[in-house]
Amino acid sequence: MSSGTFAVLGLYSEAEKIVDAANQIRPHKLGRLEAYTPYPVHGLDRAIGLEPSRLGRLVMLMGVMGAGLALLFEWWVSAVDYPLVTSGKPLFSWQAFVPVMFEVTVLFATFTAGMAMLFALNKLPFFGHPVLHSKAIKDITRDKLALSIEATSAAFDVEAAHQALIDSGAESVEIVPVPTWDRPLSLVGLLRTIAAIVAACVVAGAGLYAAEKLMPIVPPMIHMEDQPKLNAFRESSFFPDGRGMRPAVAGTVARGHLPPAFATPEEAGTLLSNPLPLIQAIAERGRKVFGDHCAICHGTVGNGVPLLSRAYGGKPGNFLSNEIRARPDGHYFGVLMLGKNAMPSYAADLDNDDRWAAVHYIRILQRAQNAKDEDLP
Amino acid sequence: MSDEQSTPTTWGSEAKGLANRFALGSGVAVTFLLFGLIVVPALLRERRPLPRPPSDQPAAASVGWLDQAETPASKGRDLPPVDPATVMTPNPKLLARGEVLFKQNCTSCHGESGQGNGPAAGTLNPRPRNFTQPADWKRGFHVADIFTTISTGVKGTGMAAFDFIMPADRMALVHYVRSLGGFDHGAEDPKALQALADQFRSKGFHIPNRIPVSLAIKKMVTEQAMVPPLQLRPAEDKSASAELLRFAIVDPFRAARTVAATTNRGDLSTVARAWAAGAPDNGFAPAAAGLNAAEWSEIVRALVGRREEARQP
Repeated sequence: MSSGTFAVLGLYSEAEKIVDAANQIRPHKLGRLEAYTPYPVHGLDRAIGLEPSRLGRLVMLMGVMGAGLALLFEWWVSAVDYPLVTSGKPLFSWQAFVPVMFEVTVLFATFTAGMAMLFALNKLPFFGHPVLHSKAIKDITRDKLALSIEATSAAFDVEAAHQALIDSGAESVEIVPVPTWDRPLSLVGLLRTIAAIVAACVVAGAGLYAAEKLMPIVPPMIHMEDQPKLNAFRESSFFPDGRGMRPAVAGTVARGHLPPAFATPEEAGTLLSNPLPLIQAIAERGRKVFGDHCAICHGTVGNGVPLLSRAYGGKPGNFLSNEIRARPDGHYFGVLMLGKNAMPSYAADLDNDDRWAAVHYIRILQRAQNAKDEDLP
Repeated sequence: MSDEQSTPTTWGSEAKGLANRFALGSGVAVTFLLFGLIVVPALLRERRPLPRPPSDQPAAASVGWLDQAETPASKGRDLPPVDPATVMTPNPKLLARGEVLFKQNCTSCHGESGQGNGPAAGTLNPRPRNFTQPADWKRGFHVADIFTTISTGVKGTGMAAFDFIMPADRMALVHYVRSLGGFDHGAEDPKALQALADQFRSKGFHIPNRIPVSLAIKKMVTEQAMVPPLQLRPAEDKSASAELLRFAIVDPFRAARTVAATTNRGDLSTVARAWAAGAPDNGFAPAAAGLNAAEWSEIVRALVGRREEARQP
């Protein structure tokens, strides 16, 4: 019969009595002692032999681990995997890592505290505790205190436990059997749980939706929206010119963007010369720039027969015409900077070396389509 | 049943075991998913070889015969002179040819019917000519005038020179353009017509040699004259001119090319302006634009003088 028994329950009506009883029964080591009381009873934890919780140590351990892992991760990211000097500081600047270390420490510690408390120490989930099905549960949840000797092995002696509880002054004793069902996690139960969760979500969502649609929404803090300030791209009555944004001081130049020193392509032609030597690498760079930016309109060989002619009906310049071939390098550069006719400026799309490489490549195309006799293979 | 009764497992421990196995299983599954879907593909991606930088040699072979730039070399030839009798006066064949050429070359600015309202017309200043009315023609609308305009373009406007079109085709365009305007074109100047006819008779049209672009690159790279970098004086040299050169020149290689290309362009101020205009890409410091005339003349003298010295031996 012993294996069919979950525990033996003894009921008491006074807190002192259950503490004394527990102190009296514990040395016999009949089984695991557990107490069910409607209110906390001082000293009962020590009386049933409950050790101080290990949760604190676990949380400490995981917190330190979180800090260490965060430090390791940040060191690896910022000093090994993607070294990036920030404000001239060393790659491994632990002071900057502290906030993240703190966050990860808290993350690990709180998760450990919650999870370990629920699953490791309290042994949850525990569906349908057998004591809930005992006759004594009504009394326990009202005014009685119960001491239970739980079976921990096959050698559990029900009679001895029964006797020990009576000897300790229990008012009544009940033997709680192990529940007879063997599949606490049935498929139907799981499905019902899931259905209940889904239903709860639907109800909550519908309720929120209805509330938002039907009830007036009062902004909680109107003063956040009402800020008397100048927006850069809005009009404003504050300044006489009616604009919020202040014009830059005359002569201001954007950092890294020297304005061109010429006003027309013709002027650029008289001023500039190609500073890049025509070596293989520059020619290849020019081929790439030309292919990426110019060929779509000016044609692969620069003959002004555009790949896009049907789509946009343009007639781009023919680099092979005598007129355009006669122009100096700087003129091409000027057109790239300033645009010409329907061609837009490429000042923002290319850097200067790309432009000069493209000029070299245009010269190569002109040579290829207008080769000297000795060039023929 | 007797077996079950003899086992010491209780109902609670079974539930606990289930829960434990579930937790362990889901943990393992999440770990595997993380590594299988994110970490391992990322590592594989990292290890994939980088795309090869474009190399010069196989470019032609890799793009294949579709690349216009790599069509085989062809020898140029001279087309025989045009017989003026066939092109000086409009005929239906010539006008049909002119219409095709007009659609290809002119409509983007001058519009489908020559009213100067093509898609690109809005970007042009001055606006393209309206061929349907007699006002404002820059060179006039006689045969020789229009032929000149098509052949040489109009300076200061968006009108380019269409010298790459063969003369007979240019004449087809001339007649087609004239046919667009319903107004009276007036009498032709016989002298201009005669000069045009003589021009046709005297000269054919030259179709130039063509070579693949990769070959042109090779030729031009070989022909390229390497300009030795400017030899700046050593840092120990504290003379005023050495300091000035060190201040004005940021890249001796580029500056050398710039000096070689621009020194023959005219007087001191033009050269100085050219050098400052191209900075810093041309090897000179942008700050050099603030130097005064005396300092510039010192720099120009030092650089040009050195080139002369280098040329002597």
